[in-house]
Amino acid sequence: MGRRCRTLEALVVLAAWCLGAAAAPATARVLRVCADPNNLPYSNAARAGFENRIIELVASEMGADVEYVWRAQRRGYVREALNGGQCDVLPGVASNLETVLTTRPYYRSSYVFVWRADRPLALSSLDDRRLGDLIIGVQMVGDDFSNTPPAHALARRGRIANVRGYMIYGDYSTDTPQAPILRAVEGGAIDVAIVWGPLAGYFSQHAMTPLALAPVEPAVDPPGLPMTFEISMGVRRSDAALRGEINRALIAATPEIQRVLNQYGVPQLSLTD
Amino acid sequence: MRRLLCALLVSLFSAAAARAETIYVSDEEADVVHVIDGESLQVVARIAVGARPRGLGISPDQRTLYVACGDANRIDIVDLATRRVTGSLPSGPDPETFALSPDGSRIVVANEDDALVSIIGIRQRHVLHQTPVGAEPEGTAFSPDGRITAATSETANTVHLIDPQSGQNTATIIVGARPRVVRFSPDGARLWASTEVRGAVYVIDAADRRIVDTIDIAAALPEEPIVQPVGIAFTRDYRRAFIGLGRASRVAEVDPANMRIIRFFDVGNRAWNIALSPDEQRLYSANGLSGDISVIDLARNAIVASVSTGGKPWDVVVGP
Repeated sequence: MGRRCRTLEALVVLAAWCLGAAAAPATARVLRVCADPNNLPYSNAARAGFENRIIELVASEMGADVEYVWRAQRRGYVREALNGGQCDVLPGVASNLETVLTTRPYYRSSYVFVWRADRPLALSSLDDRRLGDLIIGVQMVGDDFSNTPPAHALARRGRIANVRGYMIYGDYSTDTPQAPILRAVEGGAIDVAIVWGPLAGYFSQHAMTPLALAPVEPAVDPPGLPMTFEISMGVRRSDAALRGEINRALIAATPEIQRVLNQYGVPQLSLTD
Repeated sequence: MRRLLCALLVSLFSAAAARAETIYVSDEEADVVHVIDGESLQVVARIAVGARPRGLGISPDQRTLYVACGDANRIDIVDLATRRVTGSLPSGPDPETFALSPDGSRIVVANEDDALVSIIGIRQRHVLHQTPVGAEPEGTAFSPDGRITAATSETANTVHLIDPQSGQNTATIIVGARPRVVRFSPDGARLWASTEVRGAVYVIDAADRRIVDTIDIAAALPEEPIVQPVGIAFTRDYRRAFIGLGRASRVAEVDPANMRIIRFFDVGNRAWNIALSPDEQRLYSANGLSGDISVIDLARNAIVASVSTGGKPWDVVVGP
């Protein structure tokens, strides 16, 4: 009996080995991913960003290796990098980005107020009258006040003189181009910053001075400017099959993705309400 | 004799009950409304309307069909007895969809380019209120009691609740990417919003103004790369709900009691909008890319016919 068992076992192992050998492709599949080489907490060339970690989980789920195409996220990024064919996937795009086909969202975050925890500010609303007396830092794309949603919401309330802009491209010569707005809160150069959640969460984890965070209210600035966004991956509009594959991988890897987001301190809102 | 009479009556009755209905289909390519006889399932007429007709609605007295003609920047009024355009309503630019108030006195229209929702008096033929909303408003609805209007904003990913008396935006609810159609449940307690890019339907408590359920249709069709929930239809008893899934070429049925997906019907391609027959024995889907109308028998839960219209069917409504 024992010998028969062992023989069977050996056969099973041999069969598995043969099947495995037959199933193994000649060359591993490659998922070409466009990512910014210097944009923590999202991605960097050392693969230390949370989007690096998440796309690698997704690729592993798909049985593929990630091949990065490193490019700074600047004007024309989507058009040239993805739609121009340099890569096949862009992690970390807004779910409603129209120039690409977006996957199912893997997280939702919000713009947040950030202030030094040792100051009794407890801010939550853009309508808080105290915002008139505070120096407010806000992320901006260009040099006008009408681009990021909080910049627009502040301008709509006439808050211009006490608002300081911080370029989202930041100082690319450093290894944390987007950190200055958080450092300015820590150092007291500004009283409060309004920052996209993942950035605020990550740099507050690494802050020397404890920082306090609160989601910006109203979540939709009237009449219809949202402060919260779902985040997806983007593929070319002609790549519906790849989107389907990534969707399945995102569902399968949900617990691991959640662990990564928590580890990086990403403030999350529910994806379902 | 009595038996004969009864048989005759029954056959007369069943003939009358057979399909005393007419299906109207907007065709955004041919600039017509196709008229399909419910019994023969033949296209019996084509009504010429303004350029790029999409959203349709029938007046409560079943005599008038309204047609949103996007490229003509107006809503055409069609007399169903003569099947002719008798006038138009001012709608603002590029009307895509609209909803009629339950009493038939007003319509609510989304003006996509201006990020406005307009409430228009039908008798007055002018705009009563305009409400600013999020970018690219799309779908609109009136609650069954006429007290709430709802609108989706496609790029802001929002559902707006608006008081039709004052035009005030009373609540803004964030949903998934690219919300399209909104429909109130027959009792008015729930508001369903379909999201084309997210592939889900959000169920909102109309009184609490918060999301109480999310039906993740895309997750239920993992092998389907594109799942685009758009059209929504309910039976009057709110026992069955149907959702058109666009390029997934399916209609989903959901049980509103537990929000579970019960089954999928395989229909034509790009099934944006759907409509129930008045007797709720049939569901029709307008399939824009296959140029046809799928006919679903809801007793047998099967596709029983496909009516070719050509062009690009967009919306479908059913009248007498």
